[in-house]
Amino acid sequence: MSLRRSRNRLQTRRKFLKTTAAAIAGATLFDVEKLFAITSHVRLDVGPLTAASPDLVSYAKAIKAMQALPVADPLSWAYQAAIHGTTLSGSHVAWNTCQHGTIFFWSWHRMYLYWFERIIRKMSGNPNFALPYWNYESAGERNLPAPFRNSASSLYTVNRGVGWNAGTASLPSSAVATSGFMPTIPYYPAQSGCEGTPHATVHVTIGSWMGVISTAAQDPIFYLHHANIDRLWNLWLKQGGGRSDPLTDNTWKTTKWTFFDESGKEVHMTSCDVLRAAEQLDYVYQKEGKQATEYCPKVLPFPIWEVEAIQPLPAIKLPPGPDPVPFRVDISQFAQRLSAVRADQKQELALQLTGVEADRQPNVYWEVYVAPPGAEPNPESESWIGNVALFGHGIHDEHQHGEFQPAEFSFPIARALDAAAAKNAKEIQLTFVPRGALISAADAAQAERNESTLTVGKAEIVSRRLTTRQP
Amino acid sequence: MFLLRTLLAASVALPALAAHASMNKTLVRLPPISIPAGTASRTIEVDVHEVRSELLAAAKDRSRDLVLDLEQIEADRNPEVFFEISVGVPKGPSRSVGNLALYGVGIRSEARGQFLPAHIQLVITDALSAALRKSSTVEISFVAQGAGGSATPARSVSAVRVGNPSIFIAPRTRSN
Repeated sequence: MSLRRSRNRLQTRRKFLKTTAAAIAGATLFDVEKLFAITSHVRLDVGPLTAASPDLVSYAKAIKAMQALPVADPLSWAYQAAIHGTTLSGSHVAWNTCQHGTIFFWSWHRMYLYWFERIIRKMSGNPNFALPYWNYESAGERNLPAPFRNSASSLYTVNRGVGWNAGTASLPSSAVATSGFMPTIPYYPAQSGCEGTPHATVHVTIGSWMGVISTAAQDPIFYLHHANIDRLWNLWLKQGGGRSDPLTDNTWKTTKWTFFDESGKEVHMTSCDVLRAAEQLDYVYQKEGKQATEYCPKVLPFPIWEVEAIQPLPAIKLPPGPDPVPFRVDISQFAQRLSAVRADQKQELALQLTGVEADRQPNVYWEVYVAPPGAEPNPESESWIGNVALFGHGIHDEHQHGEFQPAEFSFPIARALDAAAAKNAKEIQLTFVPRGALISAADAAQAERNESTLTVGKAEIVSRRLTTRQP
Repeated sequence: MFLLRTLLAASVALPALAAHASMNKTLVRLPPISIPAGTASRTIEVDVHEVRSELLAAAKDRSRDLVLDLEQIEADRNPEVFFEISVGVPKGPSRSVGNLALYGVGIRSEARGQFLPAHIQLVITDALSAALRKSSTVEISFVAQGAGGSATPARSVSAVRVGNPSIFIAPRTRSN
């Protein structure tokens, strides 16, 4: 009861801070909300707990219920333990998948405990349950916690090494030291160090079921031991100084592991899903303070055009000189298709020019128009669809950075085609008008004179749809 | 070059330690270590006089560490103890440098699928340099550990072998 009250006090204090901070911060309410987001589950140090503490009462109740379920039920005690390891024969989803001696030691066990804890909440009927941790680094907590030694409790098992259930055995200080791995900065060596001491040493020292990978998770103390190992991950990371989760290791980030939720449904998780215990998994450890926050870089799918050719256009060659160059295009054969694309909100029509190149810098750019035949080019009208200008790409005598690359252009033409369709035109005129600097009228002809032949390798009207692709 | 006199030990299995292996410089290669079943404590003596100055120089360099590398650790069965490892001078003081505990990896009878030997690396910079200041022969001790409160000393119930032990110099990757 007192623990529940202290948890309530914690939330009340948070609420007070949140309100106060919000009043001070005013417009930054959103950040304050985030900062003080209430984590509803606090994993407590088991040391001060008694058999009557709500979390241990719930844990014992859930274990009893789970032990009554058939082995094949993913919510059963045997099945949950078998996910870590089992000597049982038969093949079931996720059995024997615990990660030791691999890059997933910390993250896999965090996932495992997370789903296990949710199942305990369901099976105990206590939605506030949080798995306590065994804080054996504290000199007063080196014996097996007393509630786990009561043979009448489901927290008890006879399968422990000599002296543990009698309360006479204890963990040597060398078995629980964290000084070996805490100073280590790179993730994998630090994780490996923790996996050795205190993780493996505690398993080995308790012995019997706990000492063997295929039976360890049948002992209820297993989960408190691993809650502490999980807490140590947080504490190691929180030291900073270059410590970080392996966020550049794609295998670590993307490998999916299988567990079961409290309804028995299969669920999958990656290490990226368990970086921030409070924010992602809704739990904190008593007295741990603010957790370090790490994020897997979100790799967004990049947009690409899916392009489909609708109508090929005649070969385009723009000779030297000052004159506009028109091309007539019969669109009657494609009118229906063009209309269909125009009606589709997810597609758009475009004029696509590829393989655009000139021997020298033309010293002009071209305004490009799509209009009914005979229409005067007017850059203020809907018939102007864009400009073709060569700079760098597409000019043979200017490519200084490796292999020559022709230029490409793509212009939306739906509005121009609509304008042409409004005049019932069966043909359209594609016009290229050379342009240069606006100077005096006397020099304009010279300024707007193309000085190199420009060729377009392929011109076509296309439909295109914006889609995304995963990197 | 170096002398292996006695030997004892145990091990744990931990991987992913080869990240900067190419930057490591192995100075001492030890013969394989085998620890018989029933062992409570074993010590090996290593004569490092030929590389003593290099080890001491590395130990003084705050950008480098001396590492005891225990590769290819295996046991036929669960030893049911872990081994506390110390480095010191013969018949003199020693310092604990860490533990060797087998759980899940390195135990042949418990292998799930393909057997994987265990691998541990322990930073021994301070312990080794303290020992080298007094002697060019150092002791590496493996002391079996069980639960506290037992009247009898812990003993390994299975032989443990360390196939490829060595001492190397590595870039320091820890906070001081």
